[in-house]
Amino acid sequence: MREISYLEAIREALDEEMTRDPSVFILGEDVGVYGGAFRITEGFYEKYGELRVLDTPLSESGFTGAAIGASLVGMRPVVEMQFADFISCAFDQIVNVAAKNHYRWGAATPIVIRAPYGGNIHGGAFHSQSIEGFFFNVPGLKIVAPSTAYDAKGLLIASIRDNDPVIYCEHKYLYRRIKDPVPEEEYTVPIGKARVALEGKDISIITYGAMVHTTLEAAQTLKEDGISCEIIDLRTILPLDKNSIFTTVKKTNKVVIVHEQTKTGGVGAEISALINEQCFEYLDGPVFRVTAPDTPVPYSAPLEETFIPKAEDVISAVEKLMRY
Amino acid sequence: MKVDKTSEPSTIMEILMEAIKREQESYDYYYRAALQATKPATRKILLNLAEWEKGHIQELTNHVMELKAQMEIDRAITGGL
Repeated sequence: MREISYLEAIREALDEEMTRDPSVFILGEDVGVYGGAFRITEGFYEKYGELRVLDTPLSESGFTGAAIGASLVGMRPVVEMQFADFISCAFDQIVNVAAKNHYRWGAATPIVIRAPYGGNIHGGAFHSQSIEGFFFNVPGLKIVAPSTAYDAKGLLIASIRDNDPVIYCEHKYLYRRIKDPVPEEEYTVPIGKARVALEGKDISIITYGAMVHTTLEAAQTLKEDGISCEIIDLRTILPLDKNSIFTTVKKTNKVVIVHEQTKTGGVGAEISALINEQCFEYLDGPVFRVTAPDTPVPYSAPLEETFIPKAEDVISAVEKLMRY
Repeated sequence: MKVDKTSEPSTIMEILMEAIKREQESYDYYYRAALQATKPATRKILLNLAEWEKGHIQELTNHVMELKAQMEIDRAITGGL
């Protein structure tokens, strides 16, 4: 099977869905003539024209609102936030309009908001944030975060076809750094389903996004020390695949949660609480979290290196938990 | 002695590309030599050396990929300025 990059997978998903369904269109800053800040929509303007690839003003609230309006009359817009950090400007439209439409009057709001997120790219505090936590507490939204090219494509197609608003967290660090086999024929990755990225028996590591690769690296080292890790790649953050989480906890009885997002009130806190409520009697020790510290993402490269969780941090947490 | 510096690689990308080119030349050299070697032991050594160079090419190619990935992100952040 041919291999393509994470970025190419996103591009392919957009291209195929725009070809398949004329109601799908793209809007955002510089997505048209320029081809997107990361060149994901390069050539789309020429291929699909100015009515389906819309360059917008620098107004995230405005173009997200426009997308929501279009979705209410049968379109399937895909909004590109140039950097996920700017999504805060559209917070009201996403949280108070898109997420509530279904509850207020039963209206489907099939929009996808592509959010290039994450650090390790020397972008500093305004171009590196993990934004999933901002929206994790909002009923009515779905949040996905692929870690592989395969999932990047399959989850984006599933998101475009979904009738609810989906925040699609695409990790910038992975864009051109990973490649994996992706089928040429059509497929989707279902929203709400985690995958076992690595089977193991001694300890479970629950993670998503770029941290899947960090934990796989850690698991390789730990294997050499005789510790068998099971890695759960959540793929979807909201709604969480509770069944997969509880299944792995009951299997290994030890859990480490790893995410790049800051610690307090993060996705890991909710997963830990769920495990405590539902699987307490299966636990052999506390649920540990390996996360970024509660600070903005530093611009300084050495500080950023300390900020982003590394394989050594995961190994250290696993070794500590294995002593219980 | 006058040195023509215009042809020397100056950016890290140029240096890496030049290094890949030279590693490729070394690979070709050892591989061709191996084909001409008559003694099996000599051929084995030359093929091993060629494989080493191939490893260097892969390592340098990974560096180029990493650098390009970061350059694209830098360009996105700065708008190419």
